[in-house]
Amino acid sequence: MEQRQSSGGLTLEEVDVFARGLYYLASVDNHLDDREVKLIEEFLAETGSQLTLAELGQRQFSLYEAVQVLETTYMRRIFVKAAIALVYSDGVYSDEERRALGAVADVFGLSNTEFGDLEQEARRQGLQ
Amino acid sequence: MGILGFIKSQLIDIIEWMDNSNYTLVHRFPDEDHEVKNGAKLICRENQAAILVNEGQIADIFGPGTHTLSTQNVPVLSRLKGWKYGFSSPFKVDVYFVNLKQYIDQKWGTANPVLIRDPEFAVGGRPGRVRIRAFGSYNFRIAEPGTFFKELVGTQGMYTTDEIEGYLKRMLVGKFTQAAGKSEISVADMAGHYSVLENVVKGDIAEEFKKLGLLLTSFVIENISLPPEIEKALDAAAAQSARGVDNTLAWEGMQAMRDAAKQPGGGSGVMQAGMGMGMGMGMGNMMGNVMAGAMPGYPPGYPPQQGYPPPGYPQAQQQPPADDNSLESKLRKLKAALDAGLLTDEEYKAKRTKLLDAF
Repeated sequence: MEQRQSSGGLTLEEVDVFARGLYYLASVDNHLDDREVKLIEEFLAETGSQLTLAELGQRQFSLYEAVQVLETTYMRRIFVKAAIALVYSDGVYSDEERRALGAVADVFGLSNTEFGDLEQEARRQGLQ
Repeated sequence: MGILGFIKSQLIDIIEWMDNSNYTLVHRFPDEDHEVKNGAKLICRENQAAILVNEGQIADIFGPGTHTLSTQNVPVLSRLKGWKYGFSSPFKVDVYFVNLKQYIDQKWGTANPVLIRDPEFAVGGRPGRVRIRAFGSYNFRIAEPGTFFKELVGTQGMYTTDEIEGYLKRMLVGKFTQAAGKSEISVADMAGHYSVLENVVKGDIAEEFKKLGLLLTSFVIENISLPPEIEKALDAAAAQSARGVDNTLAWEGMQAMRDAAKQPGGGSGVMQAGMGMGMGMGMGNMMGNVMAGAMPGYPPGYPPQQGYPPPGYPQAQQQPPADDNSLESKLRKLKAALDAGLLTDEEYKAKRTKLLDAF
């Protein structure tokens, strides 16, 4: 299957999973901050995705679908890092958010140590 | 930076390294756990090589130039990664830059004196040995990045000349010692044969360096020195020759007298007296040795000295003093003439009677 590349070097499938996954994780504590919303909308625009924020809220995010689309360990690590950076962007890292991120890391086959390292790296790099 | 920027920042698309030091041999590109983007540019400056290492295994080695990392030009990496039909996803690889420039003016020197045989220092049938010290400089460069990386670098993120300097120096000193020992060149002549020794060392060590992926581009002996006491003796011998003095003992005596003369008076009187006694005894011995050849033993009639000759030494038979005019002497001589058949019995008796009558 030919994969179409988006401007960010991601396939459209990957952009779709990234967008829905990030929206799901940012709103898992029933609190979607304006900054988080802005970052996700910006991501959709930059990648040329046809998805809207409203559609993201309506569509289900499946961890198993994410595992299938994000095949490489590297892409999985980027997804987790980006998600951690996103949920940190509002200054709140709730228990629900951490549990949800931990579940994603588990499904992706990342160890607790790797997850801890990713948390530190993501916090250090951050999203401005 | 938005989410896409964050994702992009996780991908490496330009790999290059600018070296500002004069000592870094190998430098690992700091990927910060990022992966290399498909089609990333690998830029090797002049005198640089880049080694791609996949999970600890050397994959591809690149020389100077700009290289686009794609399946076509990373054949080993593609095989290691199992890319059959090309790759599109980012990949994880360690990139090591290797400096291929020459590292000049590296110092070497013997930590301890090196003992070598030197026929010019042979005395009394014993082989001559002398201890020498030497120092100099050398230049080297990495000739085979892959070999150097395998043999020495391993997983170190940075490898500098400091880490290899001691090892190379010990190898060079070892080879220099061998070369100096085998050269059969006297230490006195070594100054004129530095280039011979240098070439021998370079030739001998080339194989050792090659095993490490290195090339010795220059080896210079700046100086070979002897122990201070030997240098002093050589200087003294040169000064003696310059004065045209052939006798070392006499030269040393003259030196001693000169030194004694330089001493201020007063407290040095005792020392001068002792030196004078020593010189007097030395001259006495010399005279005795000279005379001994010409006059062995004491002359006849010389009274025996105390303790000489030693016990058991054969002594000359003591003769009574001769007196040719005495009656006894005349009678003895007459008897000797009879015994020798020079006189008949009658003649002997007549002479004897005449002597006795005269007495």
